[in-house]
Amino acid sequence: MKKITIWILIAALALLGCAPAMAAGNDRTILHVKNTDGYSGLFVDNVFPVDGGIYVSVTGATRGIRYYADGAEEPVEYLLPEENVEDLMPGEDGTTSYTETVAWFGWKDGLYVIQNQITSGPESNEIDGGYVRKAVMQDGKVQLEECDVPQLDWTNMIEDYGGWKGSRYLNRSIVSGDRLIAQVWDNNGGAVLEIFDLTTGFAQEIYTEGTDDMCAGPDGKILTLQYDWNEETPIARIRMMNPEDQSEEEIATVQVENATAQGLAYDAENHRIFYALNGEIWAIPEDGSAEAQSVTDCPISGGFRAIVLGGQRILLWGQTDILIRDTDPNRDRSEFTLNIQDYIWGQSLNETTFDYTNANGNASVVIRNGGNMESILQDMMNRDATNDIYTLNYESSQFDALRSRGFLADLSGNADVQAAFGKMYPFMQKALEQDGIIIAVPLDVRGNAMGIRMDSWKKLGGTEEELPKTWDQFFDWLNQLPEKLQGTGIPVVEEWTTRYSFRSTIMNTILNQYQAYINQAGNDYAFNTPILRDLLEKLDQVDYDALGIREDENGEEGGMMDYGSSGEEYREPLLDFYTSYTISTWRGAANPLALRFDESTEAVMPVNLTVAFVNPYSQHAEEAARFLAMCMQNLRSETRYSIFADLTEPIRDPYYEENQKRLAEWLEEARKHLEEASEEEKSMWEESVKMYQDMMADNEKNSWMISPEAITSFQQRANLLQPLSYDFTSSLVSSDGGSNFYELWEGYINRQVSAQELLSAIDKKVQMMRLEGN
Amino acid sequence: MYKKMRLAWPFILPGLAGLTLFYFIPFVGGIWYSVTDGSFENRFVGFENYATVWQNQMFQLGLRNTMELSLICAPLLFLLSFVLASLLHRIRPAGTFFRSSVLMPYLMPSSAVLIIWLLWFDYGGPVNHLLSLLGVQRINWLLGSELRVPVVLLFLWKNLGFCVIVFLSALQSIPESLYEYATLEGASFRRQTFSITLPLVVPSAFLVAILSFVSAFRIFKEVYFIGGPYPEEPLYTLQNYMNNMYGKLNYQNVTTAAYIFAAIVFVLFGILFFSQRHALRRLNGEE
Repeated sequence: MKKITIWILIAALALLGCAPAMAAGNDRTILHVKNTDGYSGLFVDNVFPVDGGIYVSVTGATRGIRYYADGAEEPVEYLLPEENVEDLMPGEDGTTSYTETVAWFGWKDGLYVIQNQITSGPESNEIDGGYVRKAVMQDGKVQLEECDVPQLDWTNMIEDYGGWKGSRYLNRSIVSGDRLIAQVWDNNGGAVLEIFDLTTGFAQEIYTEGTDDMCAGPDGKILTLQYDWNEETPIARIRMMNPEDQSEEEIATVQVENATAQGLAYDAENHRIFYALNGEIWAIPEDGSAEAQSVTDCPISGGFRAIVLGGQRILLWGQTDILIRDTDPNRDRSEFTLNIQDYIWGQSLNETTFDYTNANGNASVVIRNGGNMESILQDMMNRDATNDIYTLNYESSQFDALRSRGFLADLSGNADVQAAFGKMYPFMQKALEQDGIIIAVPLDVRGNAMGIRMDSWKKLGGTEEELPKTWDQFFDWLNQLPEKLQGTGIPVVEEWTTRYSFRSTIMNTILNQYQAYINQAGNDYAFNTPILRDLLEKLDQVDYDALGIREDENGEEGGMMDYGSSGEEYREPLLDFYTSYTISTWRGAANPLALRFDESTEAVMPVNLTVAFVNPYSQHAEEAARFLAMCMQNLRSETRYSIFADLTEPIRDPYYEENQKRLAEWLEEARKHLEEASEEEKSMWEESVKMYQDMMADNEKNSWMISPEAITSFQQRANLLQPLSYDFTSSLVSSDGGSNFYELWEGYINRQVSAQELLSAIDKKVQMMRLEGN
Repeated sequence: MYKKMRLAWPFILPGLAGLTLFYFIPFVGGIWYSVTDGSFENRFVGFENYATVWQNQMFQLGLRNTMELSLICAPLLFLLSFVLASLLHRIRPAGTFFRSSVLMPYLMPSSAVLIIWLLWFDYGGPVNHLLSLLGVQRINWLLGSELRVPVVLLFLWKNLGFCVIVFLSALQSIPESLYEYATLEGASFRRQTFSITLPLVVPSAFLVAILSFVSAFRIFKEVYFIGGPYPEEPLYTLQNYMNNMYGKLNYQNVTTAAYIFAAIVFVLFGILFFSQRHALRRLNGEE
């Protein structure tokens, strides 16, 4: 008896120990594709819950279907059939017949596809649509077979374009009982709900105002979510529609403000409606009789959908993530939640959420995007501990105020943050340190201004030594350019650039750099100075006719030119106005021009920095610091390389190997053809071989995400970079009296106001702002 | 009397509660903001904020401009309203129309009036047109220190009516029989003015003086509409400073500036109060 009691006690203790894990066991990440650099190789196209599991259709490097049985960690993968190119070749009568897949859907225990049979002739085509096939998974492949589902009435789905027909596409399709429901857009932009009965093939059409999300509701009804931007504070309305009589009942309104409500789902078991907002899943009763209650976190960013599985679980899927979350409000939720108020849609936060919650099973993370950053200082003064982490622009007045008043928690105590800080470039360390402590971590750094295409400059016979070193020299150099460019066909700037945009871009560049210049210690903070006045007067004297910069037309600021239809060929200009100061994955050919304001000082390259910091009143400051340390590892490559000086290894383009392999195959193919070719065909195949060789060499040389040259070039100018701090000029323009100031600004660009008047006006206001203090 | 006081409490309590909640408590509570640094530690700094604000150039500019504008606007308003009230007091049959219309500017919204004012004082507006007809060079009224002229005129135009009404009621409350007796006794107009009119009008005059200064101290709306939070220097008032500090949530500087100004106003009104008492004694022949 005693032994039995002991065993029972042991079992009870073991169960108690497992309880939190078991209670949290329903939270699962089925699929998460790391997408730091915008390339993941895999995208989730759609998810279809069926009895016993879920089917996931994926695209990207491979197209296929994955089946995750309930509780299974790993999926079984099936490849979709490749398109048979020969099917698209016209027959002897000039017609082509092929099958087009319109949509997939999950129903009962199977996966189905809707296909159209299209017969296309030289002058018209016919569509016989709505055929339903069942997807049969066998031997690693998906085969489509005929099934008992009758052909759907596709009449309403065909659009006639005068001889040519097209099929509308099913958007946001859902299955409710034996019905397939989807939103379709007609030619006039009207929104229609198409409801197909899968047992009879019958189709019903209901015109609506358009829905932003929908799901199957109780008793065959449809739940819809629609934004209403006309209200003073944007809201989303949740409505229940009865397709029988097309009546609608409003269930609830959700205040969305700057956020997006989505992921509408219905829990038939517990009569609840779910939606996601601000990083959480909220539940309301199906009759809307009570306030919404947060039931779980939702780490997916971007667009996603949701559907309720059994056992109070909700399935969420976005482009790179599929998650299951437990929605039982009575379960033990995570021990603590890290709340992040993300004002600037910070890079890497969402990715870090997955890493952090995987590493810390007792934590959840809720990210609220957007919002009014004016309230942050008020929150600090009220000692508000609601948010643990904030993100802001470094040059914002809010960050400046928080920094000057000490409302930024010390991150130096976290070893990972400290270690990462030690590896940063000096310009970054200087920005993030105050009085010996680390006050924030960087989330993004970027800056761009004028650059010069060195290839073009060398073609003109120019050398690096001849390039201007100061702004003064720049304008003199600009005046000498017409002579150098004559007859070369190289334009100075993009050919769509007008005089207005040239002038305002140069003006903005000068002012931005000047602001960074005067922010440095020892320089007078004034705008109405001889340096700036002289430069703007030189800008006034630029000879646009000689430089071939076109005039403004009807007050337009310039736009893209239509090279295709005009027959003109694009000519790469000498100067590029959007050359990045930081490392960029975009393979532009321009080098930034580092221009000084006078010979005795270094050039300054202002950059914009976004940062994240910990609320000093946070009750989870250590965890927040740990989260931020992880954030820095999840930054995009170009950002990491622009921040950390120890990153010197170039990174290949993710498609490099794949492309190189394919090119090698084609080259081999071409060589074989060359060996077997007749005399007449030899030259053609020789050309093909050369072409593939050149392509491989070009791929080898240029397929870099982060190239060795970009790293070297950045290292040489890193000491010139300076994160812009509190920006008086932009604050001036955005303040309540900003319209007056903006008029003056525009007046200068349009030559109605002199440089002296503009700088004098800026100076007066800026000096007043500075003297007031912050 | 005690019983009457008890009956009075239910009537005065709501007003007193509001006054306490929205004036006295914030007034006292604001003192805490003015003696702390507003940082994360929120350290007590004593009178450091007062010294910092007092030495701040923009505060000094705002204070100086506020006092200058008040010293221009308040006396002008006082004199003009007295003269106009006296005139209206004499135009009895048709006076009702004028008495009603003189209050109209006070009731009109400032923003609407300002648009018209800006049009009048525009470089090509009617005022400059009139000046050019008179052979005077056009003036850029909306820039620099010249902007004070339209602001002062707008202030006078807007606030005249209320002060006129106060003076007019004071004048009308003087019994006609006093003037009749004085005339019968051979008193001149000047003697009647100094012996009858002024002594009986002084309390109302004191009120008008207070109102004039208070209204002058509050010149801000119109300036803000024209020049934003950072208008031309001659029009940057203390209100601009406090408004900008409030916008930056620098409650320390806002409250400190407010208390400094309150102290100055207290001294000023103290001077006015004693002046009034002294004037009354002199006019009543007590001194």
